[in-house]
Amino acid sequence: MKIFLKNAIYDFENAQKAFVRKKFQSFLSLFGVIIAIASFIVLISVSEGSKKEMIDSLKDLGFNTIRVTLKEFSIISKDLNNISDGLSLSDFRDLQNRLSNSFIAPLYSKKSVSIFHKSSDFTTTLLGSNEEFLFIENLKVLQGRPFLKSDLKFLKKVAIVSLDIAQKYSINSGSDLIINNKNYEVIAVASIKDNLSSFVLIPFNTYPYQKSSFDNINIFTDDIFTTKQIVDLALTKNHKSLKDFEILIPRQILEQKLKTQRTFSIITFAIILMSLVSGGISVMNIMLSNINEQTREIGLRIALGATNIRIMQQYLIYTLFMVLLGGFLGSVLGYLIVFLISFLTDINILISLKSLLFAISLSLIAGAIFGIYPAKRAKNISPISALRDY
Amino acid sequence: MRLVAKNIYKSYKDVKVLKNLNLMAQMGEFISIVGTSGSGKSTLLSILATLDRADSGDIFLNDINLNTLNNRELSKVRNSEFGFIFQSSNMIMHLNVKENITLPFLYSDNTPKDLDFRVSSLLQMLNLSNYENKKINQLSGGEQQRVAIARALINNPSIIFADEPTGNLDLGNTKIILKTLKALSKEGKIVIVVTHDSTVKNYSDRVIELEKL
Repeated sequence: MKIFLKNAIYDFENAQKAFVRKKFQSFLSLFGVIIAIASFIVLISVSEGSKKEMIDSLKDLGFNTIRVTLKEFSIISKDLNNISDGLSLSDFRDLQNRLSNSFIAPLYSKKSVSIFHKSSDFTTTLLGSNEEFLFIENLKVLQGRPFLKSDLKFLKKVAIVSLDIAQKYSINSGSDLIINNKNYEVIAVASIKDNLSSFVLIPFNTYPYQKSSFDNINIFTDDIFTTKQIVDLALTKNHKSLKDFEILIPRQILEQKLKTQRTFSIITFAIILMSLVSGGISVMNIMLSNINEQTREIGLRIALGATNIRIMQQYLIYTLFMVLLGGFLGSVLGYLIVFLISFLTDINILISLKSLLFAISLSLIAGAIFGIYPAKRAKNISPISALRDY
Repeated sequence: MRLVAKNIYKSYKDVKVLKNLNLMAQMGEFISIVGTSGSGKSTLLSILATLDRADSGDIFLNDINLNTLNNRELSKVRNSEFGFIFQSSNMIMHLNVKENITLPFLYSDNTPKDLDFRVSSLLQMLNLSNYENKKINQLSGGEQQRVAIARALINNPSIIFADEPTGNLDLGNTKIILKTLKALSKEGKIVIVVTHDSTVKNYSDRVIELEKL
C-alpha cells in the first residue's frame, strides 16, 4: 500500500509536469470537460434553487391545505356565473358540516384599502375571515389574542394586524383602526410570511366589502385527497353542477412542477453527459498522442523494470489528473456563472457542496472511462520495438 | 552468476533469425556479439535480457528458467539483475541527470538510503562529477552515454546488456565507455555487448559472431 501510494504520488507529480510541458494543447483538450462540469454546476444550482423556492412557496401555502377559488370565467360563461352565488356563506356552512375534522376559513380579500390610525392613514390588504384562518395559514399571534368564535358570533369589530404594519405605524393590541368609517379594535399582532406579508384581518361577517361570494375558502386537512372529493361533490351539488369553482391543492401543483422540472433536468443532464463524453474523448485523444510521443520512454521504463500494470497506472493517473483539473476549472467557472446569475438576475440559486462533490465524482468517472483505453495501450507497448523503432 | 541460453529459435513471420543458438556467459566475462545486419544480434540480446521471448528454447539465470516467469517476475529480474545501455542513450529528456540515473528505483520495492552517495560516486567514476542537476540536453552524446552507464549500474546489476553502446560516439568517448565496461567485467559483472565496432573486440574476452540465416 505504501509503495502504491509512493508510486501514485510520483505519477501525479509527473502528470503535473507533463501537463505544464504541453500546457496549451492539454488545456485545449480539457475544454469539453470544463464546459460540461461548469454547465452541471449551473444546472444543479439553478434547479436546486428553483426547487427550494417551490418548496418554500408550498410551505407558505401549506402542505395540508386545499384552496377553493372561483373560476375566472370567459365573457360567455360569466352569464352562467350569475346563476350561482359563487363561494357563498351557505357553501361555507355546508363544508363546515361535512368536514367536521378539518379547519375551514372563508376569505374576503381586498388590496389597497385605506385604513386610518390616529390621525394618519395607510393602505394595505384587508382580509376578512374567521378564527381558523391564522392556523390554516400557519401564522402566529405574536401579541394579544386570536379571534374567538364569540367575536364572529357577536359581530365584534376587532382586528388583527400583521407585524410589519404594527411596527411601521406603532399599532398594538388596544389600538383603534378606522376601516370604511367604522371603528375596529386591534386585538393582536400576527406574524407574516412571503405571500401574506402585510395585512389587516377582521371577522368576515363584519367585512365592509362583502360580496355574494368569498374570494377563497381555505381548508386544512389531514387527508387532502378525500377532502378534495368531498368539497368537489358538495360544491357541485350546491352549484347545480356548475363548475364555477376550482380546487387547488398546492402539494399537487408542486408535485406537477417538480415532475416538469425533473424532466427538464434529465434532458439537460443528458446534454451535459454528451458534452462530458465529447470532453472525455478530447482528453483521450491527447493522451493517445502523448503515449505515441512517449513510446520510447515507455519502452525504456519497461526495460528498466516497470511492470505493465505500473505503466498503466502511470497513464491512468495522468488522465485522472487531466479530468480532475478540468473538473476543478469547470467548477470554478460554474460557480462564477452561478454567482453572476444570482447577482444580475432574481433567479433563485442554491449553491451546495453536494453539486461540487457530484461534479468531482463525475470527472473521476469520466477520467476512469476515458483513461483506461490509452493506459491499456501504453501497457501493451513492446519495449523492444519501442526502443528499436523510435 | 551465470547466464545460459539453450536451443534458442526465433523468427519474425517467415524469416528465421536465430536457429538452435546456445550460449553461456560466466561471471566476469566480457562478451561481444558481432555479425552483419539482420544476423539477429539485437534479437539475441533482447531475448537474453527478457525484453523479447524466443519461439523456443530456454534462458537460465543461474538455475532459474526465465521462460517460466511471468511478466511481473521478469520485470523484477530486469530491475534488479540487469543493466541496459542502448545505442542512443535513451535518456528521458524532461528529467535531469540524477532523475534519469535513479529511474530503476521507481520500479524497485526498496530505495537504498545511500542513493545520493551512489549517484555521486557513479558520476565521479564516469568523470561527470556535479552533473546531478544538469538537464540532459545540456550534455554531449558521450556524456549522455556515460549517464546511461550510471543508470545501468545504479541497481548494482549482475549483467550489463549493451546494444551498440559506442555507435554514436567519437573515438575518445568510445574508449572511455569500453574501458568502463571492461572495468565492470573485471569486478565480476557479465557484460554482453552487441556491436559493429571492431574496437570492442579488443576489450572482449569472447567474441560471438552471428551469421544471417
